[in-house]
Amino acid sequence: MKKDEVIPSIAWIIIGIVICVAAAALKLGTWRRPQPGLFAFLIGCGIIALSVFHMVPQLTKKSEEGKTLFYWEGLKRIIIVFALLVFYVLSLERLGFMICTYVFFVVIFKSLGRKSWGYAIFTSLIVTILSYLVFEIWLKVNLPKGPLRI
Amino acid sequence: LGVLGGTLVGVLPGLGPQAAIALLLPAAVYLNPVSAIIMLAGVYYGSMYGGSTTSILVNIPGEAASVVTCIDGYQMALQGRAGPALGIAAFGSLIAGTFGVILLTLVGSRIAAFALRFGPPEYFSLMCLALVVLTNLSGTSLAKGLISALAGLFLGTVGMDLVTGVPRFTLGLSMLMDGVGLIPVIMGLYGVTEVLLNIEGGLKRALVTEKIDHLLPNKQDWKDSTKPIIRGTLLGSILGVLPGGGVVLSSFLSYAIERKLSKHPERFGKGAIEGVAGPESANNAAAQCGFIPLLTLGIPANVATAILLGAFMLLGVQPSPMLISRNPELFWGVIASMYVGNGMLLILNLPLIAIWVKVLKIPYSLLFPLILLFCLIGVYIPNKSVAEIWIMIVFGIIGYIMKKIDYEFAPMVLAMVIGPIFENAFRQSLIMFRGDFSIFFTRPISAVLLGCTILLLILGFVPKIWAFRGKLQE
Repeated sequence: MKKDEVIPSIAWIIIGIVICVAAAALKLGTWRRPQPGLFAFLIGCGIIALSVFHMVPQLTKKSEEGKTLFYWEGLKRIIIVFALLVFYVLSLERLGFMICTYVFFVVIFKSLGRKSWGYAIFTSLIVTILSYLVFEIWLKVNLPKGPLRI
Repeated sequence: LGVLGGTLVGVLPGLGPQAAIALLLPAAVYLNPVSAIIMLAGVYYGSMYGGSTTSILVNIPGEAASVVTCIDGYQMALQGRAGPALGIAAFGSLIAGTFGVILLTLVGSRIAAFALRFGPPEYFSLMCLALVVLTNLSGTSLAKGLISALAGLFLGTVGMDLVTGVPRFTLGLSMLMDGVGLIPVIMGLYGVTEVLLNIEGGLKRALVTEKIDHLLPNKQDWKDSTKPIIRGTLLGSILGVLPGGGVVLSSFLSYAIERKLSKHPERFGKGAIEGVAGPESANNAAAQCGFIPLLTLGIPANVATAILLGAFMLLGVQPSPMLISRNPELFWGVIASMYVGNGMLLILNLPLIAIWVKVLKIPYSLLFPLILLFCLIGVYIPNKSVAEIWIMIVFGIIGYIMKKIDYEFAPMVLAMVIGPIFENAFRQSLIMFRGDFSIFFTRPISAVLLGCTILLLILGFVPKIWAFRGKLQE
């Protein structure tokens, strides 16, 4: 069984079923008078049918040896970026654009770029000021101010 | 500005026309519709050209259509002939792009007049064809591509139902009442996903260290390239008009044709200038001709034009056969801008190649946080909504997982953009003809379009079924 093909197919089948159930709850109507759920219901059925069609031949195939989709080192970097993006969204309106952007860059340079503290602090400051000038002053975008009030 | 901005983003490794349009889309919202669309069109073909620069200099195609350019373009760069490779790509792009615009000028209004005969069944069939063609071209598995397209159609249904006003699949969130925003989805898929995929493998990149000079191709280069440019232009113009695809197919086909026709096919893959001139001309002609179905039918020819279609809608412009009569200043304005844009592409790019090379030398450890910042702020700006950033992050992760499990998201984006029109055409057809499905096969235009769709599906699926049957019998 080719796991890296079968598992996603099962996930798609579940997604298809969820779509069908949610669409049926919206009313399907008839072919003459289609209601809001009909089109989505057909989409759900299509996803299920295609996933089954794709999955069945994969059941008889063997997984490639040594092939891994995710590896820890790479995943670690992705988790850091994901966490930083979440931090940015959660704190943008509270801390403001300047502080958020500065912290975002310092952490990235330190954790992923493996730069020195001096580089991280100084480059982040330059990038933050430049992006402030571009967005706030030049493009006149009203970005969240935060406690700095600038 | 569009051409310049497009080239700048297109030059950045890993970012293609889709990302270029997505990154510059928020800025366009502040312009009037005509200027915004002219700018975004410029971004599109500017980034197409920028993509070939990265292919030649660092062997990283900005997008699928530039994959072929890598083969011989990068080899030429390694042999110290990066200048002529970039030069012939620029000249080929100019010639092919201008030919494409001439074609658009000549046949655009005729196709629009013909398209006035289209009713909902014809639109439904045309969009089926567009989706299947794109799915066929965008990945290795037709079934996976179609699943991705269906997921995109589903995303298109999220929000308030236009006919009954019922909210659909909004999970009770008010931000989804108007549907899933196009900008956060595109930024997530083409900005965040690309960054995640790139940083996963580390932050090191190959850089060009040689000095690039002698940009103008010499006499022999021109002699070798003239016919490939002409053939590529014609091929790209024909395939580019096909709704659903053409840009990628034309560049691959052009390469295959040039190799076949060459007296020295063994030179291909080792730095043959024909292998750059033909495909680059083909994909640029196809990119320009992609505007024919977009402007006259409202059907995107590829993902980048699908994003453009979404941008049109955001700006309150609905491309359709009526666009020429209702909005002539926009239609002809865009076309006129393309003549200027193609010239600007050459004038700006040849002297600026030294700058593009410098851009390529920006370390990725500095570049990727900047891309992320542009995505974050770009998504936030239009509606000042943090919720849109959440959507972007979610789609960044979805895109990453899809890429890892080998599902292309290009069909998903195309389907998401045309989803509402597609559903509308489907429902209108059923209501108008009282649920009679034969209408899709009895109206001639619809029958031809749907026939082509079914044929493509059969050609895609039958070999797999036969192979599986054979395996079972074994």
